[in-house]
This record gives sequence, C-alpha cells and structure tokens, in this order.
Amino acid sequence: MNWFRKPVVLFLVIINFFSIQLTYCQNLDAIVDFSDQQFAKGNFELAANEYNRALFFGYYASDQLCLKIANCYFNQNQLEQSARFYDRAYFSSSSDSLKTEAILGKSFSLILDKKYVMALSELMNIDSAKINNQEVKLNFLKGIAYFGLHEDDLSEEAFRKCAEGLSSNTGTSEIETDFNAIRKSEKRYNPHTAWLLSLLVPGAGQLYSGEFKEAANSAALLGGLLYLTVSFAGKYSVFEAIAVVLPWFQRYYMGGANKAEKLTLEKQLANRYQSYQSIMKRLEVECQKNQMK
Amino acid sequence: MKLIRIFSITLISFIVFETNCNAQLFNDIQRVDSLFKPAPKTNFSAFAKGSKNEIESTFSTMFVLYKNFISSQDIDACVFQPSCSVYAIECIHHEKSKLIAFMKISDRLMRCHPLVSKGAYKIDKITGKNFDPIEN
Repeated sequence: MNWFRKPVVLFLVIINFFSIQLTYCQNLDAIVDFSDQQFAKGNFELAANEYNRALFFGYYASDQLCLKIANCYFNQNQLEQSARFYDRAYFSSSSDSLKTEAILGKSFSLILDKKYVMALSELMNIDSAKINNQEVKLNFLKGIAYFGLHEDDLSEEAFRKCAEGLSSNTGTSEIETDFNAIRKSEKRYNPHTAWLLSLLVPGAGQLYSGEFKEAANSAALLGGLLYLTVSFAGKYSVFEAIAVVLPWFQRYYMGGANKAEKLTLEKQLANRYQSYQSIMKRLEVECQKNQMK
Repeated sequence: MKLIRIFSITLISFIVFETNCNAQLFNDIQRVDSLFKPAPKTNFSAFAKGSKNEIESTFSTMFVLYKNFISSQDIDACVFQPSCSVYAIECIHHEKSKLIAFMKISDRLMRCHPLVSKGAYKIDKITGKNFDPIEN
C-alpha cells in the first residue's frame, strides 16, 4: 500500500470524496428546480415523479416537497393521493403556515371527492388566529362542505364570512338572497308530500313537481291496469282479477309514488344547484373586483 | 428614510400576496363550480340511432317506448346493472346472430330475481347492484 501514502494520490482521493458529496447535493437541488419548472409549465405528472425522486433520495425540506407533490396530484385530479401527501406534509412540518396550507389542501381534495364530513373535521383543526390571510379560503371551503351536507344555515354563514373577507357588503346580502331561494324551493318541492299525493291520487305527485307528462303517464298506466282488473273480475272472477292483475297494479302504483318523490327531489336539487352557481358567480365577481383594486 | 423603505416594502408585499390569494381563490371557485351539478338524465333514444336493420330498429323503438312510458313508472326491481332492458337492447345491437342474442336475453331474464346468490357477480360501485354487462 505504498502508493496510497503518496501525497498526490491522497489529495486526489480527498478531492474526489468531497466532489461526490457536492455533486449529490447539487443533483437533488437540480431535480427540485427542474420539477418546479415542470410544475409551472403544467406538466404535473413529470413534476410529481421528479419530486418523488428527490424525496426518496432524502431532500432536506421533505415537508415542502410533500406539499409540492400533493399539489401535483391535486392538479391531476388524483384526489386520494393528494390528500395522502398533504397529510404527510402536515405531519413532517413544524411551520404553522405550511401546516395550514396542508390542511386546506387536504380538505379541498376531500371536498372534491365529496367527503364533506371528513373535510370539515380537517378544517376544524385550523386555528383561525394563526391563519392570517387564508381565512377567506377557510370560510370558502367550510361553506362548500356545509352546503354538501345540506347544512344551509352554517353554509350561509361561512359564505358570508368569505364575502366579507373579500371586503364586500353587497356580496353578503346577495348570498342571503340565494340561500332564501334554496329554503323557498325546499318548502315548495317536498319529496314526502309528492309521495303522499301520488299515493292518494296517482299522478298528483308528478303534477305537484310540475311534471305534467309524467303525471299523465302515471295516471294513464294505472287507469289502464284498473280497467283491466275490473274487466277481468267481470269476465272471469274477482279472485282471478286479484291474482293476475293486482300485483302489476301494486307495482306501478308504488313505482309512480316513488317516481313522484324522485322527480321532486331532482327539482329541489336542480334549484339548489342553480343557487349554488349564483353564489359562486358572486364570489368570482368579488374576487375580480378585488384584483382590480 | 429607512421607515419609508420598510413601509413601502410591506405595502408592496401585502398587495402582491393579496392579489395572489384572490387569484388562487378565483381558480378554486372555478374548480368547484360544477360540484353539485345533478347527474344528466339518460337519453334512451340514443339506443335507437345505431340500428342497422329492421329487427334492430323495431326492438330499439320498443325499448325507447318501454323505457319512457312503462319502466319510468315502475319500482326499481331489476337486480342487475345494466338493467335487463338495457342488456337486451345491447345484445340485439352487438350480437351478430339474433338467435344467440335472444338466448342471452332469456338467460338474463331467468337470472334476474331477488334470490341471486351474493358474491356471484361483481358489485357496481355506483348503484350497488350486481354488475353483469354483455361481455360477461
């Protein structure tokens, strides 16, 4: 091992050792930079793969990396994956702002996945005293989650706070109007009333929900079956009429009532959606106004 | 002088941050815009359009009439997804031999009852019914 004692060889070994270390660090940074560029360009799949690579090789800011990966999955609509990485970012971070961002991101993923209860339980973890400028988004997400759960009063309150956060007084009163429209529609279109009406007079439930074609259809179908029962009873016997036609009559009688209930519910949901879109439009306008200022 | 500089930096950063937040919220609103959109109604007339011969067009017309005027008032009794009527019209459209199509339809109608054994079919996630497409 005489050659190892030579100063030139020793020098080369030391230089190599440090250069390897340096190259390694530079590579991870380069990967993250490259991923950032891809994210900005909208190549979310590539960006997520590269961020994952950097995470695997032990990039120092793992919490930020997890958040970036979660954002990539969120933009690709891979909601379960994004929620998982937001969770990871939350638990690996010690910064309050990053934790808040992770919770908001996770809740948004859950809302888009229609898991409103889970989203709300996440949003409840946020300490509103610590979130600075993200209160608008917090209220926005709460509003949607409550809306999905049909908790209209709480949803209205959250959306109003959101509009207030966008410094708008007109927005809050308009939101109240939209929610009043929802309440009015829910009173006007009651599925249970429609079901009961259809049981009393076949087709009446459909009329109640404003579906005239369906009402005529139900009445005609059940009228025909009733005529068949009577004619069977006259032609053969009452027992035969009950055995042959009555099961069909019962089937379409109950089916008609269920259909009336379904139609009324559909009507209610359609009106609800209309009001929801109106609320979103108002918030959008408020956002644009705010950006113009 | 120093105070003015600090003030102006704070003001600019606040404006930039606020604008960024609003822009983000604007994008978020657009993302959730159609979240509560009701599912569109199935257009059964679409089945009648692809008919290639008289048999297919006759059955397609019968199917559309049945779906619009009879099945729409019926209770949800079919245990399969797609329902027997949809399965039947798909068989008639896709099977070259109409005899095989009728045999498949008869087989399906005989299998459709509430006593169908659990685990015999995959479960459709949306409807919770037994998934049995014509490919099975």
